[in-house]
Amino acid sequence: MITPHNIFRHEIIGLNVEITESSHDGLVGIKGKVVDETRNTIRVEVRGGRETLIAKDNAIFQFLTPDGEKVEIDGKILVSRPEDRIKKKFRKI
Amino acid sequence: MKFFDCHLYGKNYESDYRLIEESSRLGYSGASLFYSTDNYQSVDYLETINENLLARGTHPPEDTPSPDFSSDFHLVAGVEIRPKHGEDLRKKINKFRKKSDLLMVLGGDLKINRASCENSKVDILSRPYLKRRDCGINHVFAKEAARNNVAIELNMSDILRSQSVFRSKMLAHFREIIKLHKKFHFPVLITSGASSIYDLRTPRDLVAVANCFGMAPEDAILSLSNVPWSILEFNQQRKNMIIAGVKRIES
Repeated sequence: MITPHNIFRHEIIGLNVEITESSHDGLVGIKGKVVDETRNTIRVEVRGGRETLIAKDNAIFQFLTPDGEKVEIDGKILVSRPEDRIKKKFRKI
Repeated sequence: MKFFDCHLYGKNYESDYRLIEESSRLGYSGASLFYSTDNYQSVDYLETINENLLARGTHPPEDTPSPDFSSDFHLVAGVEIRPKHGEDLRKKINKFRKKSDLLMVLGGDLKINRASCENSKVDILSRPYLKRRDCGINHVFAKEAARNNVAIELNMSDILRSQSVFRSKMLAHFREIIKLHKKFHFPVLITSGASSIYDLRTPRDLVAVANCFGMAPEDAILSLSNVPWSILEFNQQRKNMIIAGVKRIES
């Protein structure tokens, strides 16, 4: 079950995402489904089947959980291999 | 420019009302009253102060010479923690973080200064130089404060209330903190630290004094306006933040 409390540790392939901020202005506003993930990038399939590769480090993502909740995640904390992210320590606020 | 006085000492209704009234007259758009951990729970008159200010702002009495009385004054209550040791600090932060809008830790002890800089739940480290012969922070604390977004407070009442060699030492401490601020970019707050209306000064006066200890006027204006407002804005979002960098969006 993906919730806002575990989404940063969870598998993100298959989730709907929107890029709200990026150092590359051309990437802002891209909306679609995550189809692949590497350590530093995610691949987003936008409408029409076209795929875009987005660097995690310089972007802020807005994910939509299966329950319909929106979660904004700074790409910097997603930078790591998905299988390593589960054991990563995150700083509490 | 909306100036915010981030440190006024709260006592009781009459004193607090006069402080807020005077700071509004001097040109501040907001202020935060700080109470001790024992008194904070019993403070329930802040809304009354706000309502009275609002009523007075819209219908100013004829005998008060305050035509520029601001009716949209932003009043915030905060807790000032005076910990005995690091463990005590941690307990008090956990107790008061969710209850208060602003959390301030009184520094002075090196261990307390360090623990405050390392804790992202702390908003402001107040007077790290208190009763010390140095400024109370070094490059290690400065890095941590910048990483955890802990603001370091420069209290102007320390300059006002000291004299001769003590005043010059205070200015030297401030100069040292500004030097670290320029290198490590942690937030710095300039506050009046007023407990009576006679301690209050206009924002431009504080900027002029800040210029004496090596702070550029633009930086001083930022630390009287942008820094406090950004701390308040961040604290409003704190309840939606799950960890640093992850935020739930309310639709």
